[in-house]
Amino acid sequence: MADLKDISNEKIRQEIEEFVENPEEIERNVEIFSRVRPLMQEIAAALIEGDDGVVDALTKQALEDKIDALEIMDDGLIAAMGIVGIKFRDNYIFVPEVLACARAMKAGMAYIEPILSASGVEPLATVIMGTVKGDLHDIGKNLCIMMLRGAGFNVVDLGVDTSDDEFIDAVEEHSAPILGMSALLTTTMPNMGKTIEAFIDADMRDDVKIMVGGAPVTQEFADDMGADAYGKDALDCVAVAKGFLSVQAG
Amino acid sequence: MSKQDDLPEKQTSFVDPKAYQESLSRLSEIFTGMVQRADEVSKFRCPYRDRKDVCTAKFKCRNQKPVGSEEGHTTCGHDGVFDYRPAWESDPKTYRRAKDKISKTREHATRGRALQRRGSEKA
Repeated sequence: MADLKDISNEKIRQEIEEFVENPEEIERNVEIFSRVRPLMQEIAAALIEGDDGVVDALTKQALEDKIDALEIMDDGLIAAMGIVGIKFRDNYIFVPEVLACARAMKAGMAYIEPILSASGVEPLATVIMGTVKGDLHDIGKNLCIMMLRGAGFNVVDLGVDTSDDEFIDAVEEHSAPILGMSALLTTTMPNMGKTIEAFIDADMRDDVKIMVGGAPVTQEFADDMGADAYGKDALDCVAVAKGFLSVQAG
Repeated sequence: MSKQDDLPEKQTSFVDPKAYQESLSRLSEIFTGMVQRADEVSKFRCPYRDRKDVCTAKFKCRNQKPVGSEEGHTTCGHDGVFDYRPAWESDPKTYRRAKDKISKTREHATRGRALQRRGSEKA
């Protein structure tokens, strides 16, 4: 049986010692990290820290060292995310830290995606995501983006305070079949309706499926605005996006 | 943003699609747990509040309290004793206003398009 001291990276050892309490989870993580290369442990340690710059540099280095892309994904990025999940579940870290780790994961995946593409593994579809004009809330949207990427979608994040033109330009530029809009305030929610009207005016409404979500949004509001679907949370967002694809395929 | 141009020249790595799907399923499972947990935690703790209680929001909030002399740094002063989210959702007046605004936007846009159509037919 593997032992904690078999893990060469001090940061990973500390993380397991300090934050993983469940014996089965300790055993599983010790088993994982004791068998992976030191460089994968370094990538994992940087991801747990939410350091996207280091994850970027180390992922590039690993590929230059001819390490298999899937090994980097499994032994570096996903193994680290497992620890992040445990720390979040047990209240050692919170949503902002989780999102920093997700950004670090994205930095690593940016090198892996072209290899996936060259291997014939394409994203399910491109989704444009943004918070509407006048609204600066982004956590719900960012959780949706994390889930969508985890489900295999390519996501273009337009950030917050997104204008109609920015949504339209992004859908056009990326030929995206799906657009997701988020709003957290009742005062900014109507801007989703304005953006949908702007797509009609631009003669692009039939080119894109539009899903809307956010704390004040309901199915009734989504219907009033003329959206194609309402997602009540980040899990629903993935189900809705997959639903759009199955309708298109059918 | 993909890093296609930054990849090593002699990259020979190939990904087995089936193995990739299995990895993606594991990742999706981890993320699902995180999102469910985020929903639970948001009932007593603002999602913008980090582990050091620093507010990470890029907007103003009544619960923000300034920290030291550093400009822009705030901690969260919310006591977390109630679920604040229904407060966002339960004001019938703001809901009515939002609903009216959405109807007006649609009416206005539809009318504008009809006028435009009529104009181009005449021309």
